[in-house]
Amino acid sequence: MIQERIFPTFLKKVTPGPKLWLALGLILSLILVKNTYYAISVMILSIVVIVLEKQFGLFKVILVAMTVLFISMYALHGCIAPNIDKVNDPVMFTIFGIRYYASGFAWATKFYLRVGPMMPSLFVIFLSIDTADLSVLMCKAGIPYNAVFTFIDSFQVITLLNKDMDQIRDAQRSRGLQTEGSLLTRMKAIVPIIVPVVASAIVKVQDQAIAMDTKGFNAKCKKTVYREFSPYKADPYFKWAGIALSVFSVGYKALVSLNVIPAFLTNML
Amino acid sequence: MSKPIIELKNYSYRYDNTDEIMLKNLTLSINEGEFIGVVGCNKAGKSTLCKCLVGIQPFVTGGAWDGEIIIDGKSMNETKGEGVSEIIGIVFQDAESQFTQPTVEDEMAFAMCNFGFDRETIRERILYAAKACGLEDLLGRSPFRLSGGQQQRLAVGCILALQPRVLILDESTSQLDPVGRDDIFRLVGELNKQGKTVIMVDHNIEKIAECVDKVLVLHDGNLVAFDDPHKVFADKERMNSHSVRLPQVTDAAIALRDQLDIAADLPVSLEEAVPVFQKLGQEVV
Amino acid sequence: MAMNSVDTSKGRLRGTYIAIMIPIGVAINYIGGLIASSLGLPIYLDSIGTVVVAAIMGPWVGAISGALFNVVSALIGGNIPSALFAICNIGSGLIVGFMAQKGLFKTWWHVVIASILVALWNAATGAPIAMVVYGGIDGNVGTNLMIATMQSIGRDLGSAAFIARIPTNLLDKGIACVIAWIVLMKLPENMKSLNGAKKAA
Repeated sequence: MIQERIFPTFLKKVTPGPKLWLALGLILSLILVKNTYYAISVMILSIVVIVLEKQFGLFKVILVAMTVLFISMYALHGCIAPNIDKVNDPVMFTIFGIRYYASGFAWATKFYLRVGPMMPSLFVIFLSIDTADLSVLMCKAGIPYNAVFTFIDSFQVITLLNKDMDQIRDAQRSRGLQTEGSLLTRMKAIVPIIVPVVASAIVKVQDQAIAMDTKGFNAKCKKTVYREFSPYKADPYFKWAGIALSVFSVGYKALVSLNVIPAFLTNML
Repeated sequence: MSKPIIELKNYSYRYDNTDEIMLKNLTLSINEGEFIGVVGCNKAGKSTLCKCLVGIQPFVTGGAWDGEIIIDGKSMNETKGEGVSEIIGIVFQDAESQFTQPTVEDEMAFAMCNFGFDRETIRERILYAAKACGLEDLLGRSPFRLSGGQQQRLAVGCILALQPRVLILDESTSQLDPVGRDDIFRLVGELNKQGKTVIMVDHNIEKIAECVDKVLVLHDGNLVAFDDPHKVFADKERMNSHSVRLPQVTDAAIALRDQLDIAADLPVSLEEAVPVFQKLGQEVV
Repeated sequence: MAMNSVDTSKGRLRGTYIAIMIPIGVAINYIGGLIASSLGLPIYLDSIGTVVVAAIMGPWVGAISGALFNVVSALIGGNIPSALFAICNIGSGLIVGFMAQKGLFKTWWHVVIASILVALWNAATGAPIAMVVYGGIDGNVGTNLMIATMQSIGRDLGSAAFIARIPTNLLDKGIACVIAWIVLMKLPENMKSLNGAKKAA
């Protein structure tokens, strides 16, 4: 490329392919090898990496989602999980007459420690991947160009519509739209905000399609991949760590399912 | 004398599912290297004409036509619009909706990548187009973070990188402030001096009259006039009856025709008007 | 006057329209979710894009748009198992898309029927997916409270999860269908069925 690319943090220097391998390894290991200590370690390490990558500001939204999920899962499953035997299972505590069971706590842990660590770890990995670089990787992997374009453009359009939504919401507020107050007031605010956003996006489609056609989007020739990225010294470590985690997780789960080995790693409390 | 690069012979066009004929029997010839301004009121057929010239209508979006359009000696009735994009590039009004890439450099490369150019050629053309459009320092920026004028320059740059011989700009300055608008006119003026044929649809009569070699006036799909701006804007009644206003200096000169004693053409630009009106000022004094 | 015409029924632009409309559907779904959370509403509002795209481009494009939204949303949030909710959105797209193709997305009654069908599909498929992803609870606080209430009166988690989802989905998908219908009514005729010059069914 002509424009020099600057990578301000370590994770951004690693090329997309190895990072996706690591992401795959993390997903498979968290789903297939249900180990509390491993899951908690991944969660803590991910948050440390997020801070080092200077992404904690953006991470706050994910953190809120993780907290809400945590509270919902533990509060509800502790009382109503499907594995609770209300007669025999030990009760951890009772509050306002509602019993909180140890088996419900274990059920909540089983599911939370699958999704909870995934959120910060994948957040920091995917945030460090440039979507344009990802499109290059996908094209090189043989995915059809139109499919790659559609996938990558989704991220672009989300940013654009978000900007439109902010402008429209402010404009409607200045015209007297109430966005705070009772539930009914807030529900009434949906249509005046979202209809203009949707309509303005759809109306531009025809012109955009024609513009893309004149720029050769439907040309039958082989398309050039313009962007290139150079390998980084940490790439092989990420790639092989991801592959090793993936192979180990799948193999471990297969052997446990076939009763070849006992589940010596699984211990969701 | 340069040869025609675009010719229309009794060309008419109608959109799909309508009876209304949008372009009626147009016959005209545009020589290579000319700068043509297209003016007319709303629904005159200006944008329709632009899309027909690049073959979008009818060969991509449908419609019915009569007559023919000949691009660089080849009739579109035979080519069906194939190969036109190598000769003619078009820039539309809403620049932002034409962008799909994360950086200016990627956006400029987009069309060339689609047409399969090799990387080295893409690099060279981006450097050329970026320099021509004054975007060399903005290659790493997101297209959506540019000002309106910069976005329109980028839209021109993306098409310029394909090095078409003809550039069509369809109301590209309508959403810009005066500074941005002047930027675009300056840019296309320079491209025209380098030999590119430019066809510009614009509502700013003053800028059109100042910059173009010929003015094409459309009204209700009909060709009203296609000539030097001095000749076209000399007939005020005819222009006004087709909802086209004159440049202000021309209007003023017509109103003061008796006092001004104009021997040659009426002025159509400020530059031409100054010496003419100076005489009047001296007489009053 | 007899004029020439070309057969554009193969729709050269159809591929381009699809490539543009699918991301728009994804983005509208995402923005709907942001609007719902910024207004503090107990609904998702993340199907409007699926419904709009399905009504304009057809059931399969609508379904792909809906599914891609769940994938993109899962990637952005890091919650990969939640991509399974794509099954709900695929159904929403297919239901509305087929109804629109048959001309059954034009009147108030059509919108009501579409809302009910889409809500039932989402409730029926959402409950088992939530069981796999979250162990039975939902991402929505209102639905969770209803699940808890039903369980406390003796319902098993499975049926409680299904029944608790019906009111939320009726409201949520009803709003999505109404908004999509309003937008479609406001669009110019040629935009209502963007088939890249392909003749409308």
